[in-house]
Amino acid sequence: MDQFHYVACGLSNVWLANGYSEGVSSDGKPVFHIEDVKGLHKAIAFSLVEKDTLLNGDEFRFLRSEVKLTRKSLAGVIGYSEETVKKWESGENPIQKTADMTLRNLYLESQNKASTVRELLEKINHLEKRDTELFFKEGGSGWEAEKKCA
Amino acid sequence: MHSSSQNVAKLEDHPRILTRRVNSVASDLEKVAYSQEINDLASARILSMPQIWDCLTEGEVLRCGLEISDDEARGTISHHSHEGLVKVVFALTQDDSWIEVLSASIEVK
Repeated sequence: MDQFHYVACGLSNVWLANGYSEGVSSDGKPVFHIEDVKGLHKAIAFSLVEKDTLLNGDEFRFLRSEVKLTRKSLAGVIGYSEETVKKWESGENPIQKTADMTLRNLYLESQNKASTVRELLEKINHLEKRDTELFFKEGGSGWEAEKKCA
Repeated sequence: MHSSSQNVAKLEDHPRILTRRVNSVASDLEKVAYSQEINDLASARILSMPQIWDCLTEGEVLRCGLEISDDEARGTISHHSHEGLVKVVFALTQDDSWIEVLSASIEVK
């Protein structure tokens, strides 16, 4: 039976037995679709949280992206430098056990709607979003805000 | 008074209205398909799927590069994520039944 190698999740070892479809776009290019893709990411994350061995770099990055923290913010939260986190994720250095366990716990907290940690993660994420640059164009009916294309 | 169907079609393709349409359609991820270009490990290590979803549901369609046909609207939607400016090139069917993510990129802060 065919399986779909779902590397778009950032992990090289995720294969889907079903729940996906492949087709072509209107201009003939191959496309794919995954049913309940957020549910799939949740299942992947929980399998990583529960795995017996230490996370590897890709797995660490996957969980970090699921809790929506930058390397810099996560480094601050777990008490390491951004460069250290970068080296863990690239596989250059092994991930510290305490950091591994903390990230797994952060993910679990992020899934708990009543968690104050979840609230904190959302606040950090919100603060990290850079203000959008505003561009204005004067038209016949006055000034109008428009987004910069480049 | 210009009230032809052609003018109505132009209004529907205005970037702000397209933004609402893309945000709305993408809020149901069952209506989103992805180019095989997205299924690339090296790219996924830079730009995650959650960032692409946030861009589709919270971003704004750029005025430039819009291509409108009878069947679909193609353009770019951008969004400031926690890691940088995400841009997703999309194709939205005119009946809002389907949106395709053709490519995605991020300008890391």
